[in-house]
Amino acid sequence: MTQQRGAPPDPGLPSNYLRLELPAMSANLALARATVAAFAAGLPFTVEELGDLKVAVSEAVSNVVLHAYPAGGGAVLIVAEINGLELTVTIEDQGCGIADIDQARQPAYTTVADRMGLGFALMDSFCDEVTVSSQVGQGTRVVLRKLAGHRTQGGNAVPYDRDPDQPPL
Amino acid sequence: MLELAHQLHDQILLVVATGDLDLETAPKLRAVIDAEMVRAQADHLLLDLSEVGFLDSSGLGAILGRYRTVSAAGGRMGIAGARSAVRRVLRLSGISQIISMYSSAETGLRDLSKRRRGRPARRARCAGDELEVSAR
Repeated sequence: MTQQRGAPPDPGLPSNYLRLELPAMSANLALARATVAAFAAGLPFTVEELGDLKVAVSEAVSNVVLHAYPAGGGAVLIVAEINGLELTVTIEDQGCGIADIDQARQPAYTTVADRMGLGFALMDSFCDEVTVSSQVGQGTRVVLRKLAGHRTQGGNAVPYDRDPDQPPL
Repeated sequence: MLELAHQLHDQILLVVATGDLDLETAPKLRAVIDAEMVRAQADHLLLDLSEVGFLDSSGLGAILGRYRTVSAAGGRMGIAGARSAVRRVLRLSGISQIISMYSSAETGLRDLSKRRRGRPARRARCAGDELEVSAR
């Protein structure tokens, strides 16, 4: 769930948000992940973690492009929020929904030929928490949560450290 | 955006990819490689990813599909020069355990042509090469 805008933020923590609505087209994937990564660069993520975040966002938006609107058209709404050291990215559509979320989240489950069904597996690996909610005929919401300044699974990030050899994103 | 260049090296098609490999660009990779493998009558495929900055599951699907096609025809496939972000995704998916990984296109071409000539297969392992050529 995205947080209520009306709620006052914790005065001790910086907060910020980004709302981005795009037509659900694969041509918008690069824009979506680059925009979220640029926003997230306001937190002490490592370059590697920002790369992981790009993959997770790309997977979630790709799912919308591939599955949400079988008749074509439709939009994807991306809301990224920073609260303290926590980044939350919500990827939402108003498409056909997922009947069986547990099945859809299984690695190697795919409804499209020549694909790997690894989308949710990569989101899970590259985020601290992935939440999926969906109603058939109403749409789907994926929430990615990622904490900055700590080690994540598979990462070798040093807290509050940026790779000095990498250009800023 | 994805740019593809290709060259034939003695039955090995070297494809150099530049850009991002995702749902938008994967169909191009698939189409160009499938067409060039046939046109050049190549047996083996070496995919140079040194200029690819982004790879997700759609790109993985296209890579795995080419591996299946090349293997089914009796050929070998390798991936060269993958950067760390791309390598993470290759490793997580398990693809780096079934497709040979090389530090550079030169190393890959050398190894694939050796195998092609029926010499004993030798794993590409050079100094400073942390690519996961060997089983974990």
